[in-house]
Formats: sequence, structure tokens, C-alpha cells
Amino acid sequence: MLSLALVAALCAPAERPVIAEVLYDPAGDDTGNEFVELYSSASAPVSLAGLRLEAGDGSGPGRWTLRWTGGTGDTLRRGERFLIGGAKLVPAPDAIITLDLQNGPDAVRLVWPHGAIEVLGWGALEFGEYFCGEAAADVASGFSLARVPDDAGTGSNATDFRAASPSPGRANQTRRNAAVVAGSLALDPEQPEVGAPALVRARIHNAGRDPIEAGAVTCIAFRDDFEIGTAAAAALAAGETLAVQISTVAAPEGRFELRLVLSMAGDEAAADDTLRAPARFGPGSLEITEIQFHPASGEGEWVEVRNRSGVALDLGGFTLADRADRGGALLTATVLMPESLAVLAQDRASLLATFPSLDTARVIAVQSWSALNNSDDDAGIADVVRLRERDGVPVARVEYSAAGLPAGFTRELAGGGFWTASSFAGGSPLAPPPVRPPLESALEIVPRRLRAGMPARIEWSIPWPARASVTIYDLEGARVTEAFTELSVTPRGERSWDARLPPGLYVAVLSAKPAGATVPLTATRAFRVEGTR
Amino acid sequence: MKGAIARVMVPAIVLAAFCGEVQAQDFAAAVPVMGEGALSLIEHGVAATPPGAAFEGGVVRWLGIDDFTTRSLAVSGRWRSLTGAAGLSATGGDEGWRSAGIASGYAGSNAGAALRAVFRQDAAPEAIETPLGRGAGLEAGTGAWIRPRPGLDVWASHPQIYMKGAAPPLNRGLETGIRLAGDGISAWLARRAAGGREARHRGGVALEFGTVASAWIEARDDPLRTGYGIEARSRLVAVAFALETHPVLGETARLSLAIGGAPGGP
Repeated sequence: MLSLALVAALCAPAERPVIAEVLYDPAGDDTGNEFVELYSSASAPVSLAGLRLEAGDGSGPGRWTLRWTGGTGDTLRRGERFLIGGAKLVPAPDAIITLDLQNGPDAVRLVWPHGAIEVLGWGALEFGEYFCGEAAADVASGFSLARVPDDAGTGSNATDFRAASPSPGRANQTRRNAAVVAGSLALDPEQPEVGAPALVRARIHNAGRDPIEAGAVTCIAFRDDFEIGTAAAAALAAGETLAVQISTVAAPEGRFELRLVLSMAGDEAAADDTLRAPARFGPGSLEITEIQFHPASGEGEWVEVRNRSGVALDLGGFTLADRADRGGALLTATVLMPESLAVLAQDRASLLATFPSLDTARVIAVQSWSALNNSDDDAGIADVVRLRERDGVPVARVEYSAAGLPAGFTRELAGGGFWTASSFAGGSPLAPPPVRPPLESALEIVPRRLRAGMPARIEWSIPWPARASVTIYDLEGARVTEAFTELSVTPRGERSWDARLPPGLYVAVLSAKPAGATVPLTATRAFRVEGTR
Repeated sequence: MKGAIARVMVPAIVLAAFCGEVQAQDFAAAVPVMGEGALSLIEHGVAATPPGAAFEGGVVRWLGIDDFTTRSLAVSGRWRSLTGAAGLSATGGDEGWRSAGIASGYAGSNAGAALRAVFRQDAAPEAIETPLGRGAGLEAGTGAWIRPRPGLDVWASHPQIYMKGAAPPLNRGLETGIRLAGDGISAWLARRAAGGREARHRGGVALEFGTVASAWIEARDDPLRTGYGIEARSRLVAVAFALETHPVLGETARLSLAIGGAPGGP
């Protein structure tokens, strides 16, 4: 009984101002930045005259030292705050002193002239005189110990106080406050194509004590200073967080500062209403043009890029990553001229050994290369190659499929923005995709008269990219072999073919089906394999 | 005599049944089974030409490809049990070839056998050089049939036993087949062994409308496809047309016209 009475005696007395916030370990230099904030919820004004603020050293019993004593003119009315602290504080304290508080386990207390005492202790305190109920948790440097809500009085420091961003002279918890959750602002997709629809996504939080009614918060997205979309938020209970999205159109092309601003009548804290993040609409300064993800000659993986910015570009600081966005391999500083190609290499020395004629100045070693996958997932994607600027803004992103691609062949960006298989094993680092002349027909076998052991080439020209197969039949119409099966092809392309066929007349049939189509386009071409008996 | 022929032919057919494949190319006729005619005798070596002299011409449009239409013309003659035929053929244009064929053999009432040979010359000037000349090739083979009892025919054809020079457009090994006939209806089944691959098969049913007409349907595998045909005959003239579909490629259309001789066959 005596113990309970003692504990109760150390908590906030009724109808008196209370300790609302303590910053005992400011970020950086403590001098001039420490403070103790008092708050009054008493129904009548309370004089602070004779009130003593004492600091306690929790390492032993009875170690209290006076820090401040209230003057005759110091009075707190209901809802007011009284700030005691260093000269560097903003706003300026009502009483400027050097508190010199310890980082814990320690305590502060208010001793009223009539004998009532309120104690706030933090950390692993051993002696009961240093806390009320249970000591509050020690907080990290830069955070204050704040009473939430400001008039909380549960009878325990541990439940009344929590870590918070310092808010001297302001409420620890506002009544009405919508806030954007830090780090939650993003574009979806991350790098939308120019002119395509996009979403600005973020999470907002009701940081106040009162519920927020539906439609009260308007979320406004800005591209730099231009508004690009708005959305009204749903109702938010106190402490609740919800996701919001704002529809927009990704235009014009370029990098910008994406900004989300919350607007709500009566919002008591403007500082948490705005969030910024760098973003981009459309392609960045570098374009990925070829990907070697399964080298067959020991040259290591590599990615070819093109400077599409129109100006010389320093590649230093760009990062290269895979689908998991892990690694973030850093490129070394190299200036790439406009429209020039560069190869980002997993193993620069091995790549140069395999392709000794490459311009060494444009073969760039990448630190901490994330190995690219060689087999597709259920969605038909083997991996994703991502390029980012130093601050994480996306520059280029390519999903590729490994299906139907023999080891050594690359994925290469062909005309029209379509990706195809390289024409040759090993790919074509630092060389643009071959420009192919138009064909007279949809399918050609080159040469038309083959001889045993002679390499052949299958060329095609179709109206759209497609999944294509080429099947070989003999003159009788019997199926002989498949030249290739179900490959993703560009409208104009070619593929080398080792025609291991006995002499005779054959018919090649191209079957090409674009995405979503059910009936394929077919084209035939007769050719001869010559030989003697 | 019949017993002697059977003793020779049946083992030969069984032995040959596991060799290559056969399909008409230079002298193709419209009729599905080796019937009487100069074209069949030259193409397959199955000896059964009508008595006396006869002419036969054929046109085949292969798999819907215009560039490789075959046109052929042949003449045949039969004196007692000796039969023979000779013909010329042209396939395609600049990428095609020209052929000359000849066949001769024995044709009895219950069996027959013949030798056949075709000389082929590629039309393309860049054709391969061979010992016989640029783009020139020669092939020779044989065919035979027997009728062990009325209404049952068994045949075999191996037209490319010997080859020299430029390889032919189509490798043709051996085909063996059997046909059952009676009361105006007949059915046949043929097997073509394809070296290194599964054998190919075809089969069909034909209806005879007296001596003046017949119609048939036929199916084959690899890939599965069907065809049909019709033949009209008079005392001196026979016209046949056949069409075969293909699931991927175009249709193969065959037309043949025979003049002279008399209806009948193996």
C-alpha cells in the first residue's frame, strides 16, 4: 500500500502542468539543444513560481541536482507550453539554461512548492525514486522522449512516453494532422513510357488524435512545379495508414522532382504534408542495346549501352542491377560521346581477350556484378537489367527471355525497338545491330542452292514481331526437320542455319504468329540441297 | 511359270520392304496405285502397259508451288509379254530440271517386273558439277507385282537402286503395297520405309463404276493428309484427276491423260 502510494506520488499531479517532452541526447552537439517542455491541461492557469526542475543521476540513490526554478511571472494556461532549454532552440525557450542532461539511465523531475513531485525516468533504472510506474525506454540520439498524447496520464513513464522527432514548443500529437509516410512516394511503373498512363503512389497517415473524414484530405501530385493529378483520400481513423494513388499521364519525357502535397482544412502540422522523390518519364540518357547473359567462350556477362542523351555523358556513378535490384554495381568514370556504344563488362579482361579488336576505352568494368539468369520464369522472363543514376532514378530497364536462345547468343535491340536474338554466337559488342535490306518475299533461304556443309541463312520479312517457326518439308510434303521453333523474332530478321539435310528439293515453311493472334501467317520457299552420288 | 515367279517375287518384296521410300516425281500419274500406263511404268517400274501402243501425259502441281509444276509425256508399247515405255518430263523453270526416262520388262497375267532408268538435267546454270556433266544425274531401279489369286495384288518398287551424278530432287527408296479388289470396290495399303525415321503409310478405297469410271479417296501420314481422285475411261481415252490436301503446305493436284491401249491393269 505504501509502495503504491509512493509510485502514485511520483507521477503527474492533478490539475498541474506536466513534463510533455524531453530531449536529452540531441543529434550532434548537445550544447544548447537540450530541452524540457511543460504542458498544461489544467482547467485554470497555474503559476510556476517556485517550481523546481531537477536532473537525476540514476547511478545512485538521491542524486538530484537543480536545473531551473520557476519565477513569479511564469504561468501556464490551459493548452499552453513552457519550454526550458538551450539557446540554440527554435523557437527560443521561455527559460534559457544549459540543462546538461545525461543519456541514461537518468531522470528529470518537477518538484512543486507544495510538495507534489512528477518524475520522468528513462533507461534501465535501478532505484524507484527515478521513475513513475515503469521507466520509459531509452531513445536513440536525435529523438526526444515525448508524452503522447500530450496529456497522457496512465501512471507509468513507459506507457505515457515514446520516442519522437523533437517538437519543442509544439504539440507532440496534434489533434488533426494528415502526414505522408516518409519514403513511400513512387511512380508505378517506376519508369513509364512517354504518353502512357502512370500512377503516383504513396501512403498517408493520420498522425493526429481525431479521425479524418473521407474526402477531407486531397493528395496533389506535382512534376516539379506543375500539378499532374489529384485524388481524395478515404476516411482515416487515428493512427491509421492507407495507400493512395493518383492517375496521371507520363509526359513530357524527362527527369523531374516528383512531389506529393497533402491538403486538409485544419491540419495542424504542415511539415509532414509534403514528400519529394526524383523520378523520370520515358527513357533515360542511356539505352540498353544488347545483353549477353549466357556467354559460351568465357568472356563473362556483358551489357551494351548507347548514349542517347545527345551530349557527352560521364558514366561514373551509374549503377547496373538485375531483377532483384541487388548489387547496384557501380560503373567507373568514363566519358561516352553522343550515340556511342559502351560495353559494361562483368570481366573486362576476359571480354577483351575474347574480342581483342574492341575499343578498350569503351569496355567498362562493373564492380559487384549481379549474375543474370539464364532460364525463364513462369511469366517467360529470365531476368531484368536495370540502369540507374547515382541517386536511384531509373535510366533504362529491359526484361529479357532466354527461351530458344542457344548459349553464346545474345539478346539484341533491333530496328523498331524490338528485341531479337543475335545473328552470331558471341553477339556483337560495340557494334550496332545489322541493317538488313528488304526482302522480295516473306521468306528466303540464302543461298537457294545449298551444298553439303555450306552454311545457310534463313531470312524473313513479316509485318510485325511474332513467335515464329520454320519447318522443312520434302517434295513429297513429309516433315523433315525444324530449322527453329517458337522464337521471338523481329519483323525483319535472319538466322543462320546448319542445314544438315540429304540432297534434294525441300520446302521451308515460316509460321509466324503475333501476340494475341490465333491464326499464324505462313510463307513458303522452295530450295535445293545439292549433292552427287 | 507362275510358281517360279512367285518364288522369286515374294522374297524380294519382303526383303525390300525395309529400305527407303518412294514417291513419284518426274513421271507422276493421277491414279493412286500403279495402274496401267507409260508414266507408272517409267516412274515405278511396275510393268503393266496396255496392249499395243499408247500415249500418256501428266501434269502435277506440287504442294501448291507454282515454280515446281511437272509436265510429262510418255509412250508405251506391249507385245505379248514384253512391255516398254519412254518419256520426257520438265519440272519448274530456271530452278527446275528436265528428265528423260525409259522402262522395259515382263508383264504377264499374274505377275510382272521391269527395269526403269531416268536421266535428269538441272536447268540452273550454277548447278553442281558432276562426272556426268554440270547438273546431270542418272538413276535406275526396278519394280514388280504379283497376283497370287484373283482380287489380290502385291507390289514393290525400288526406283533408285543405282544413282550417278547429281542427286535427285527426292530420295526414293522402296514402297511395298497390297491391294484387295472385288465387286467394284478395292482397297489398298502401302508402306514406305524411311531410312532413320518412322515408316510412312498411305491407304485408300476405290469404287469402280463399270469399265467407264472410278473414284477413290486416299489418306497418308507424316503429316496426316487426305486426297481424292476420279478417272473416266472410254475405249481409247482415260482421264484422271487427283487432289491431295496438306495441313501446312498447299494442295498437290495431278492430272493425267492416256490415249490408246485398253483398260485394265495389275
